[in-house]
Amino acid sequence: MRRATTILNRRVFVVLASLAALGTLYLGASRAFAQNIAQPVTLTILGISGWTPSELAGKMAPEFQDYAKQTGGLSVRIKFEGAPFSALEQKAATSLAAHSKEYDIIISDSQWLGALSTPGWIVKLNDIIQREPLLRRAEASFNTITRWAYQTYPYGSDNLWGLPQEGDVLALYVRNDLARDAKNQAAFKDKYGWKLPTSFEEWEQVTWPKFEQIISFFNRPDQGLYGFAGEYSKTYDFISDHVMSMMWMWGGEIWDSKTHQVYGILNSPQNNAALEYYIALLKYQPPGANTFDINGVIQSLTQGKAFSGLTWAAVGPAILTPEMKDKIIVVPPPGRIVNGKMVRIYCVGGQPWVINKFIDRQHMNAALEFLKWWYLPETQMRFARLGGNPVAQYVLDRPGFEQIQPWYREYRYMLVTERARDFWHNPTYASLLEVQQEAWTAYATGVVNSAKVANDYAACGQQKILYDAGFARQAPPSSCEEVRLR
Amino acid sequence: MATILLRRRHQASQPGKTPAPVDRLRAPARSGRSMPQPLFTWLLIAPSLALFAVFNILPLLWLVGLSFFRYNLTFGTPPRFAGLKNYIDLMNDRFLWGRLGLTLLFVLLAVGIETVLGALLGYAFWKKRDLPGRRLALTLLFVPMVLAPVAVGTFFKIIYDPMYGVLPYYAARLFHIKALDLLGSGNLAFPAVLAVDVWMWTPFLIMMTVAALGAVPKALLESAEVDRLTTWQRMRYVVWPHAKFVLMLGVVLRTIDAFKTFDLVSAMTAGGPGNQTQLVSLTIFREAFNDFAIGKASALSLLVLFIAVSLASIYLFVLNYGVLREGK
Amino acid sequence: MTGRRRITSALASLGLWAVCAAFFMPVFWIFLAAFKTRAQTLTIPPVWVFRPSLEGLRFMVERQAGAFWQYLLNSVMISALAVTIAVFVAYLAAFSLSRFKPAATDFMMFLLLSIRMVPGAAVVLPLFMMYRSLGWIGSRLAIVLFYAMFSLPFSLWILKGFLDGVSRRFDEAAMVDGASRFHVMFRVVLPQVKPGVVAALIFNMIFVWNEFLFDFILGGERVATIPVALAAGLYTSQGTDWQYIASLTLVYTAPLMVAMFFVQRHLLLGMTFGTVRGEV
Repeated sequence: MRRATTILNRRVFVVLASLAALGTLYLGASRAFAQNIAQPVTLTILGISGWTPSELAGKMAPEFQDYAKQTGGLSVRIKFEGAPFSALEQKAATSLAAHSKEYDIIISDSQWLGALSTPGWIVKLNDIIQREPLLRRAEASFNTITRWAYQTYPYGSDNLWGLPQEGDVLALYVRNDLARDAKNQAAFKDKYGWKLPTSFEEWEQVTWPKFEQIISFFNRPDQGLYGFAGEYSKTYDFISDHVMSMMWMWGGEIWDSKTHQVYGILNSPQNNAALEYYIALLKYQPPGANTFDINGVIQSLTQGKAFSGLTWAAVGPAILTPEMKDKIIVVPPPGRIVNGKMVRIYCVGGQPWVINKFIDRQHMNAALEFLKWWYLPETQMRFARLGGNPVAQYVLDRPGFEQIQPWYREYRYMLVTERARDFWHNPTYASLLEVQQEAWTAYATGVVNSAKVANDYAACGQQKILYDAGFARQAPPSSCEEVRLR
Repeated sequence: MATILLRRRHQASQPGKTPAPVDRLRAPARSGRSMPQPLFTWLLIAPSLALFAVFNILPLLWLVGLSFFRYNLTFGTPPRFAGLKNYIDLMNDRFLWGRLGLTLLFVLLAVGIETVLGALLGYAFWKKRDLPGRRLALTLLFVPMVLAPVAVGTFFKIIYDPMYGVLPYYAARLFHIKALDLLGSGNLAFPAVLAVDVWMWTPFLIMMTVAALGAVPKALLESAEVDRLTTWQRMRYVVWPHAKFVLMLGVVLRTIDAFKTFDLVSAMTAGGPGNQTQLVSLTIFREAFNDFAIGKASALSLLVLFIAVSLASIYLFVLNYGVLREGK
Repeated sequence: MTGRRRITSALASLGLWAVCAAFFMPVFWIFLAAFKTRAQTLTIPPVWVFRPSLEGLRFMVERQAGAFWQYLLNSVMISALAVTIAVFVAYLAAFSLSRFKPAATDFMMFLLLSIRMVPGAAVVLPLFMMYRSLGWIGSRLAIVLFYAMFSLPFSLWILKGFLDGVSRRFDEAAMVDGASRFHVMFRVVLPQVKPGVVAALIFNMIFVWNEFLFDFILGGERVATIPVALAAGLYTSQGTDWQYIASLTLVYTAPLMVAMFFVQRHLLLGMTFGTVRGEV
């Protein structure tokens, strides 16, 4: 000690010594502490931080803990760990890739089912679901789109890899206060000859051409009001969700799920037209809309800048703020008349949760108990009342369900197989997504001026990815060599 | 300021002057040469080398190894040896060179503008020693480089926003134009992102310049005054030889970091719109963490590392590294 | 004559202050957002005068059951420990390289600089695999050591630069008087390179403080730092939580600002990398 104090300045020595002491405490503390306490089984759920339906899994945990104790004498503690949405996949995949036991249940995105199941990181749930009556009942109550979106990979197979944690659909949020206004009603009727819709049923009849009339009517830049707000951002899948919805409604497809062929399908004339149409809508949107993400749409609505906005039902709470909730209604987005029938197809959202394959039996049991509890009607109803979006039919069909949250009527309306679709769960989905995000945002911002070129670029890129990965049989055609964005 | 603990504190501590003997009362008795010098030499270096070896060399070797394999984490197949295929694919990737070119352009423009601006402003600050509240002024000036890039990127999204943004609002008022759409414009996105980087890091170059100029011995400056040298002569013969080392070191450091710019751009534009701000670091991240194509990502990283090292080598060569070695 | 000089001097001061203000303005805007409601942040024309609210800060602290304090503790402890270890280890090595000039000194210096050139995303994955096999994921010590390595190059370069400028005669004189090697290192030479030490500490603190990727991937909840927490505010179901991000940024940047204010002279001196021994 003395030697040390002679070597170093006393002041410095005190600082260093305290740092060393604190450091040792900090570094060593929690380990020792953890070992000394007899822990019940800790179930760790990895979810999206800041996303209400996801966090509800953690918030509702105490109820599960009580339930588990009472019904099975099981002592379980739930730990919810949140990762930011943009980085959730990184966290989940790196953890699973290392065969880590860190997370028992992981809330993922529906696109990742292929990526997580192919390397054998998650548990196949078919047998488990069959074995457990509660889960069997829940499974039976899922409709086709739910099953495809949140559980199945590959498309068309029977493999079930996940269970739906929360469902989500695209919804149209409309300023009904403006629509109801007598002056607007009269002026609109005058101009276009039909009644400006003000109710859910009336909105059900609205097609895109009619919708264009509405948003152009309300597009009043000099008054600081714009007609519409949609998503156009390059981040994640924001522009894709909207554009693919349009493509489906325009009669196109994004790929052939059996042959994994993309070229010729994604860049079809109908899809080009759909893309053009969606980008052309920018003229009714606030400046900066060509980079709007979910937040952009939310802000446009809450700040009173847009008459309508197309985004997810799950962000209902963010849009229906105290100031806005009496002004905005949630209605089905516009459809299209195809062969005399109303066609309405939009991207489905939401998250499944999957079980880590590498956890031990004890944790597996705890996870199962948790999931069984989760799909109990009482739990699902509670989830609904707190703002989550359940998918079990026995909850959706309950009388009074649609009144629980303002968006539930639209949510229930859209979460059916004719109206909701999901896109690829293929393990290469991230690369596929990146290419089309790049292409479509390029077109939306004028980097490239032709929808055809944008779609060709996307199709070429995706075909190459699928071909290189061994999914597609055909290589991209040689004309792809010439395609570039700029 | 100096808290040197030698008893004879007021002795001038300049190189060349004989230092005062250490006070006998304070120096503990020498315990005899405990170990030979070479061993001592390497013992001192050992901890650094150990840290370096474990946390840097090992992963790098792994990276090199992985770059010769086809390995995608999510395909479920074990890594397949592929020789140079990853590198060949890189060479054939017709978009890669564009990305590298874009990155290089970014680095050159960013560092160039930051250096010029930084040098000019640094000179101004150095000249004006009696600036009232100098410490506070400089602190405020240096804050941009202290912020987390993620936060900066996110906030500039709103600062640049044509609807809610402060910048387009005032620009519209000042220049009588419509509110600019910066991040959503195919042409303006890159300059807009560049501008944020310049804003963040020019203070760094200012700091380096002020420090560099401080390296010029006062005596020489005074004699230059006395000799009535022109500003240009003063710059060339007095200031530059002494300031150049620090300044160039700042440029090297900044260049290296500019190559790695990731958080800022990712938060602001995610590489968009289209591919206008797709710097190579974003591509690497995407390949490693979105596509999980580890083999390809490793190969690309090594390529980028090679380019960065070459660039730095050139700089250091120009910097005349030997100057440092001689000691000053 | 003096009058005119005073005017130009005043103008120069004004000009320089304007520059500082211009650079600080966006930061100021971000800081303001911590005290505004969401609506106020988004209002156009921009709101400069408003009634500040502490709600944002309060909410930040209470969010996720007070996890804020854990993040702050992690940030502070990890940065402080990592940087201190780095500077200490670097000082030893720099002393050796400067005094004893072993073979391959130049090569080692350059090699260390090249550490900084590796893109983070590339290194983090093999590091993750390595950490995983050693059971180091989420380990505080492992993260601290990583960040120590991260801070090595800069520290070494600065300290060596300064050490080269301290005449060997000090060492020799001290040795002649009977000082041990350690006494020479820490009692005789170290005080003379204090600015270098300060610069190395502060600069590396800044980098580690703001680092996101490695802590996020290699860490777990126990080592989560504030940048990781900040990323959570980017996409929430409420949209982007400007208030939260701004509050975190404010709280996070303030200590660094204070540090830069108080040790500025040392910092500026330190950034000369040892080529000057006087005032800056």
